[in-house]
Parts: sequence; C-alpha cells; structure tokens
Amino acid sequence: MLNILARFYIGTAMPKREELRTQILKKYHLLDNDINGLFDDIVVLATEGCDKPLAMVSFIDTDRHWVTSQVGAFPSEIDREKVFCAHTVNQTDVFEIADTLLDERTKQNEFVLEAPNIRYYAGMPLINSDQQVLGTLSVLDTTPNTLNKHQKSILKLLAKDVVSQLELRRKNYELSKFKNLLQLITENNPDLIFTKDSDFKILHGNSAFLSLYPKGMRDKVIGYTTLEEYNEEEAEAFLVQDKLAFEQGKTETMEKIAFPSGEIRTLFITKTRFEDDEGKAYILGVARDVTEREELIEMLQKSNSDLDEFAYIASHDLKAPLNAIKRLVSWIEEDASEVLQGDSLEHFSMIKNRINRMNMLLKDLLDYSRVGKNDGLPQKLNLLETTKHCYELLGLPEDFVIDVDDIDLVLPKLPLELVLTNLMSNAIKHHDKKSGQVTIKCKHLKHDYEISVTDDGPGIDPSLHEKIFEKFQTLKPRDEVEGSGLGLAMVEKALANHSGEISIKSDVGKGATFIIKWPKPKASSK
Amino acid sequence: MQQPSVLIIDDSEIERYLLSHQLQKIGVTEIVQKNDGTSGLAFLKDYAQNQQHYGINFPPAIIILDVNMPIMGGFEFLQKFAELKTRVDLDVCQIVMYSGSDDPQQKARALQYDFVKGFLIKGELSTEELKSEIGAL
Repeated sequence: MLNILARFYIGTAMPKREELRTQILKKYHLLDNDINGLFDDIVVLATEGCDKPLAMVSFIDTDRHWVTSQVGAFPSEIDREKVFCAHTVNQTDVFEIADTLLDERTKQNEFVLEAPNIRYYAGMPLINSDQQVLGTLSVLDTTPNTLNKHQKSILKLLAKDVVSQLELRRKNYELSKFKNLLQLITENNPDLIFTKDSDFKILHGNSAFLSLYPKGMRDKVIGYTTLEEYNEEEAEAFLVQDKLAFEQGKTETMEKIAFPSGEIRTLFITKTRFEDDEGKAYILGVARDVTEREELIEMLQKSNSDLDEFAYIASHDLKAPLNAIKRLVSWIEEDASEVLQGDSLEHFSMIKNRINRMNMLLKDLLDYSRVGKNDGLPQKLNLLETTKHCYELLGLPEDFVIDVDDIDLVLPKLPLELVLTNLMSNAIKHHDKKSGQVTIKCKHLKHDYEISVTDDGPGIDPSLHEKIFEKFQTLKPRDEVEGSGLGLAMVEKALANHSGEISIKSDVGKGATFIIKWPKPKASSK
Repeated sequence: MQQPSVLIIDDSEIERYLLSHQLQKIGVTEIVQKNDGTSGLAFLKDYAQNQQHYGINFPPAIIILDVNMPIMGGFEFLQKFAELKTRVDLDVCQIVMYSGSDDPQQKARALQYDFVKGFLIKGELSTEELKSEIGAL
C-alpha cells in the first residue's frame, strides 16, 4: 500500500517544502523511538469508526517514510522515493480512492496487484497550527469501498487528535528545555539564589548559595532553616527580613551576614514573595555578594575625605607661617623705611607681592577643598538678585554692565553663587578693554536649567578649551593677571556635586560663552 | 590708664612672638606666654605662688587662647577653665579666642562660654584692631 502511494508521487518534482517538513518532524521529536505506538489507540478507533479493516498513522521525511502505529501488517519504514503521500499531503481534506484497480495512478501498484491487495484507500493529512502537513492518518480495505459523511468526520477528528497530541508533546518538550535553561542560568549565576517556604526552610539553593556553607554542612542546607544551631534570639534577628518579605511581598536590603564558615560578607539581598497553585507562600531570595564593592566604596570615600582634609589642613597650616612672614616683613618695612631704597625697596615690594599671591593660592585651595561641603538644600532663588549679590561682593568696575535674566529657579544657593561669582570674576579679570558687558541668561529645559554666561572679552582659542578647567591652570603669566588657576576647577567641582556640567563656546576675539547645565532638583528634595 | 596683664596660650612660637610684639606696641607690658592648654591651666592653678610672684597682675585680665594646640587644645582648655573657676577666683579673667580659622561653628561654640569675649582671626588682626579689642575689655 505504501508503494501505491509512492507511485502516486512518481513524475512529480519533489517539492522544496519536503526539507522543511524534516525540520518540522525534528521539532516534534518524531525521530525518537518512543513515537512508535503512540497513536495505537487512534488507529484502532479509526478502523472501528470508519468500519475498515486497516489503518495507520504515518509521517514523511525527505528520505524516510515510516508508520508509527497501524492496524494490519505494514513495513514500519520505507525508502522515501517509494513513498506516496504527494496527493494526500497536498490536500486539506480527506483524499479517497474508491477502487485502486480502476484508478490510473494505482492500478499497476504491486500492493494492489499482490498481497495485501489493497483495493481501497482514504487518507486525512495531519495539519498543524502553522498549516504544515506532517503526515497522514489513513484507513484501507482489501475490497473497493467508500467513506460515508459520518466516517469522514471521524477520520478528520482523529487526525486532528493526532496533531493535538503532537503539539502537546512539542510544548512539553519546550517546557522541559526551558526548565533546563532556567536551571543552567540559576546554577551558573554568581548571585546567591534560594527559595524558602513559610517555615523559613530552604527549598532550593544554587551552587553559589551552597558554596557559602562549609563542605561538611552542605547536605544539611536544603530542607533546613540552617538556623537550627542558633539560639532563638539570633534566629529571630536573622529572620526579620524574611518575615518582612512574606508580609510586604518584596524587600531589598543590605545585610552583613556571618556565615557558618565564620566569614562576614556584605550581601545585597532582594526577597520576593511568590505563591504556588494552592496559594502557599514562598520567598525567592537573590543575594549579590557586594563585600568587595562596599569595601572599595568605603576606602574610596575615606581616601576622598582624607584628600579633602589634607588640602584643608595643608593650606591652613601653610597660611599661618605665611601670615607671620607678611607681618614681620611689614614691620621691617615700617622700621626701616628710611634706610630702604633702590633695589632693596624693589625687593621688598616683590616679597610682599609673592606673599599675597601665595595667600590667594592657599585661600583658593582651601575654598576648593571646601566646595560641596555645606551646599545646603535647593531653594527658590531669583537669578537677577543672586547675581547682583555676587557682583556687589566682587566690586564691579564702573564701565562694566551685567545683564541678567529676571527669572526664578530652585537651586542650592552657595554653589550657584560660587559658579556665578567665578564666571563673572573671570569675565572681568580677563577682559581686554576698559568697558565690557556680561550677559547671564537662563533657559528652563525639561530636566535642567541651562544658564549661560557670555562676555565680550578677548575670547579663548578652542585648542585651550579643555585646559582651562584644569586645576592651577592659567592662560596668562601670573605676573600679568593674578589668579590661582583654581576658579574654573572649583566651578566644575561645584557643578559635579550636583550632577551638573559646564561647557564653553568661544573663539579668539569673539568673547566667550560658558554654558551650564544644572539638573533641576527632584520634587522630593525641595 | 593701667594696662591689663595678658596670658598668651599658643603652641606657635612665631604667633606668640607676633602677638606679644603687637601688644607691646599698644602698651601692654605684662605678658606671660604658655605653649599649650595644659601649661596654661597649670599656670592658673598655681594660684598662691603666682599671686605672690606677679602681684596685681595675677590672675591675668586677658587670656588670648589659640584653638588648635597639641595635648590640650583651646576648647578643652575652656571646659577645664570653667571647672577651675568654680574652685578658684578667676572672675577677673576674660578670654579672647585666637584662631587660624574663621569657621562660624567654632566661633559660636566658643562664645557659648560667658567668659569668652572675643574671637580673633590669626593673620588678619592688625595692631589697631587688637588695640580696640583690648580696650573694649
């Protein structure tokens, strides 16, 4: 009978989708041995329901055709080239040959002419949800026959059932694959992953979790609370977060935990409650070992504050002897005013000048180390008022005009004043003409204030734009323009403390614009 | 006018020198120098002996006190001084802080003591200012 169907196929070119079909069969795991006999019940039902003596479920591959369940004697596997199905496979409905001896396509077939002398054939393609044909469910007889409407329905229904079972098989397979993948992910995750039941017993722990326990203890982890050895008070303290997670559904904590191995580790732990089918609650814990990270952060914080403290103390301690020198020099100058002349007088003035410069450097260094120390909270400020306050302290030269937007913003006062004062002071100090203008504007962007400070001074060559923000960097000799070179560094540091940034647009002879982007404070921090 | 006697407590020799030089300029001649809180306090504790030695100039009318000093700093001195004052007659003493820092918190902390009358900043103090400060006391 299979040869009959093989003959049906002769003369037609092999469709390309046959290869696709092979893949589909692989997808349903039909190449496994356990598929054999899987549909035995269905073929029996098919013979009974269609009232025919023979039935089979068969699948087609590019080089194989095989029968997985049958009533009657059929070879279980036959060469693909001898196999039929072309017609049935190209159908979507029951394909029927009432008398094989009368049909041109089958009357010469050896299974018709010889045993088992098939005279009747009816096949229903097995079509999956993607409209792909996997094989056929067929019923056969040794005498010419037909299927009535009812029998055709039964054959269709049973074919559908075969496909449903296959798809279920596929889903199960996918699930088990997925489960394996999840297990692989969990096992290989460096984070500690565990689940606990409502009695705080550990139900599952990945290898990272288990490795925290000493080797001899690892078989006493799953199924235990691992707190059995602790006294009640310690155990209670340990379980506080678990209890909270059961109550609230989720907790995130940083916990310092002493492990049975004696080691104390800092863990960032997320605990999430989940429930099974019966509504029983569990928690899933994911703990990241952040011991090293926390230690590094702590060290970094300490070294930062050490550095600030060092700058503070150094500049402070350097100032005292400098002030003493200044005083002593001025006394000598007073006492010896009549004797000093010529070079000596010049030298005295040079000494005083250098003392003043050193003083300014130290003052700025001290200020730099203090930037961000007492910034205070954001408050409602008027840009015009704030700027006025700053340039009054600066001592604005007569012919300078400062034009400021009259606009309200919410920012911490001290760093804003520091930024404005330094930028204005630079604009005035480095100006190449006697008169000048500084324009300060502010735009409300969605998340930031954009404050721009524009001057009509000499401008800065673009190749120097990066350099000007470096510490102790000045563009002119200090003998020409006094300055510590810390002004813009301070501005940048003050802004960085508030996640703000500063950039410059300028060219020689075209003035300079400093653009500040200052994130608006979040509503909660007002 | 009778110039007050002054006790300078400062660990820095140059600061003591500068200050006494300035004081001398404004006519203060009775100056005792101590280089930390402990010895300053010991000087005040040695009441009878020092009274004999310095006469009317003991206890000093003005104590000029540095803040940062080894062993016993300015603030510890203030605390110990307050204790000592309950046992010994030091009512005549008025203290002026002499600090290298203009930290307002430090200033407020010092001025909490009623016997602390001033807070001078090192390096910024001119002889004229010192004169008016001392004169006011």
